[in-house]
Amino acid sequence: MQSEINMELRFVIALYSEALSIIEYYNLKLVDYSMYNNKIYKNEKNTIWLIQSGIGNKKAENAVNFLHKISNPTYNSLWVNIGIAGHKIFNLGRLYEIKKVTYINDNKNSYYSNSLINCFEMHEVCSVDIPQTVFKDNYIYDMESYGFIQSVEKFCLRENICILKIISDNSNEKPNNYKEFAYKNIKKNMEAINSGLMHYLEEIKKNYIDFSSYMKLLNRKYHITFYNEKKIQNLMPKLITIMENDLIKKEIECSKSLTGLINFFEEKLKNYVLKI
Amino acid sequence: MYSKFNMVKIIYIENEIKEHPRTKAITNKLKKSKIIYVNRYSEVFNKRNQSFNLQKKNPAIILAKKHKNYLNKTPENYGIGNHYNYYFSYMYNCIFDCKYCFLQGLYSSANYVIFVNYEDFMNEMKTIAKNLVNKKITFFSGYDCDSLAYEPFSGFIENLMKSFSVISNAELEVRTKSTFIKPFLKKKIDNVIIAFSFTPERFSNYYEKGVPSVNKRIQALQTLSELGWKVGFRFDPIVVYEGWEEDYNKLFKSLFNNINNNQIHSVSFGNLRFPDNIYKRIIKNNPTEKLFFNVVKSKDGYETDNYKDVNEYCRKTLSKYIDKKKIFSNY
Repeated sequence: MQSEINMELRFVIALYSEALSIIEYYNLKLVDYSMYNNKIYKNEKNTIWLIQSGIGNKKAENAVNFLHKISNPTYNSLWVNIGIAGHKIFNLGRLYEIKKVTYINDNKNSYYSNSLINCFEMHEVCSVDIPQTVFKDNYIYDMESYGFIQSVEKFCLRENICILKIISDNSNEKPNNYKEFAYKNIKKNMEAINSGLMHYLEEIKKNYIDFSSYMKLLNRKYHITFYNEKKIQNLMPKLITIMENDLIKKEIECSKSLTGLINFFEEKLKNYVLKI
Repeated sequence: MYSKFNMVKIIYIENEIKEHPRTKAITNKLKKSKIIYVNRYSEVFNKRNQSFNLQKKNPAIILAKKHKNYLNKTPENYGIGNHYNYYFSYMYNCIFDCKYCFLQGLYSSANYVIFVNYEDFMNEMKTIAKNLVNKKITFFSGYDCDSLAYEPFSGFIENLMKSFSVISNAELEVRTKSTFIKPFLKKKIDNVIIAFSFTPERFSNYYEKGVPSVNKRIQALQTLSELGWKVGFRFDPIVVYEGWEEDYNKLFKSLFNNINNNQIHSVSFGNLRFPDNIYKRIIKNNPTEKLFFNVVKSKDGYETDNYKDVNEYCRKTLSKYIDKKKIFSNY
């Protein structure tokens, strides 16, 4: 059973056979998006979304953009690409976290996923546009990570980009049934994947300061201009470290004007003497 | 202290220096780390959309070659007696996590960059010294990093020590909070000052994560001064908090009582201050950090508005222990 998700996950997965274990694990339900050809799934809380992109970098790129548009991700959302891939000698079924993606067509475009999950073995991908049967050098070969990372890095924190690949072929071996292989091997790794993602989400959460309840209170009482909103957003994280929650709320409730309230808070901070 | 460095899981290496002996020496010490080759370190360091705080939890090492700007002029009024002052950094970022440090906002990356072409730094120092032949110069090490914290892995200071003594018109300040003093145990060099940074123990315990204790640093200074090295005390920044004067009184007392006055080259202090862009990034990364609540906009950036108190206190108190000529303030 998966642990409680407090933060946001966005999965971009090429095929249904690769997605199925994730759909089952997080209990995702199909969403009706008729304007998009491929399938989209999400959980009840709308915090976990999965898009089935289809094979290829271009499709992965389009899928990321579409999911970004419809799923309302936050700046802290973790974007994950999971799929099967090939390597010259790596054992079938082994899971790798990808730290560098090089696009085969120009060999120059490299992208770095800095996600700090780091609990799996790490490796590099060479992303291709046509399926490969001969695996050169020491690359893992896939067909989506370039499109995925190129697109997702435009709006996502670099640390929140995660690419995981499971080896499906090497020079000596390949599965009889790719669909079955993908489903079984991703399912086999789901606990480990979830644990890695959850651990990382906890780390992200530590950087998150929630002062939305104060903002709601203020919005109910005052019309807040953009200028004042910025001021309050700057003040609140500081105030909550030196004032009790109830006291802040009481000050907001008893205040007679927003300007007076902001001045009061500013004065409070100005007069603060650091205590160790 | 070095366990954090040992835990590094990824080393990015520029293709150009993958065969460099220092690259090999460093990677040999970190055999468990995954190596990833890059064309230029800037592909992974200080890019947009990076999270300093998340990277800081598990920073990677980046081995690179520096191509220019080996040395830079220090800000005006920054110095310990000489008119010509330059700083250099063979590394970017620090394993110590001092909450007040400007490195918390200098880069958007928390990864450690090490430039392995040490000789180029030395050659640049020689060139500057040659061009300013009749002038007195100070070179400051430990600006974008701690000078010694990485020494067991990098060997930079040990390398520098081998050739710095030939520069007769310059002094080198090795500024540190590390107690790794092995590079100085062999032979004393007259134009090198080993300067230790201090804040009071109570403050240090709370705000200087990973830094050796005040007592250990004093012991290291004691060893160095007994070996004849010139040493420096750096109280920069001095952060004002409830009880700061009492704590600094204790700190000054234990430092000056334990170190032979003749070996003290200089004592310097300064207030908490930042350039605009660095301060803004620090605040963004640390919006709840109480240290910065009293930092206000000033003419040259952001600073605490208590420099007069700090200045008056330091000059008065420090002059009880040491010649006023050896006291310098950095504002």
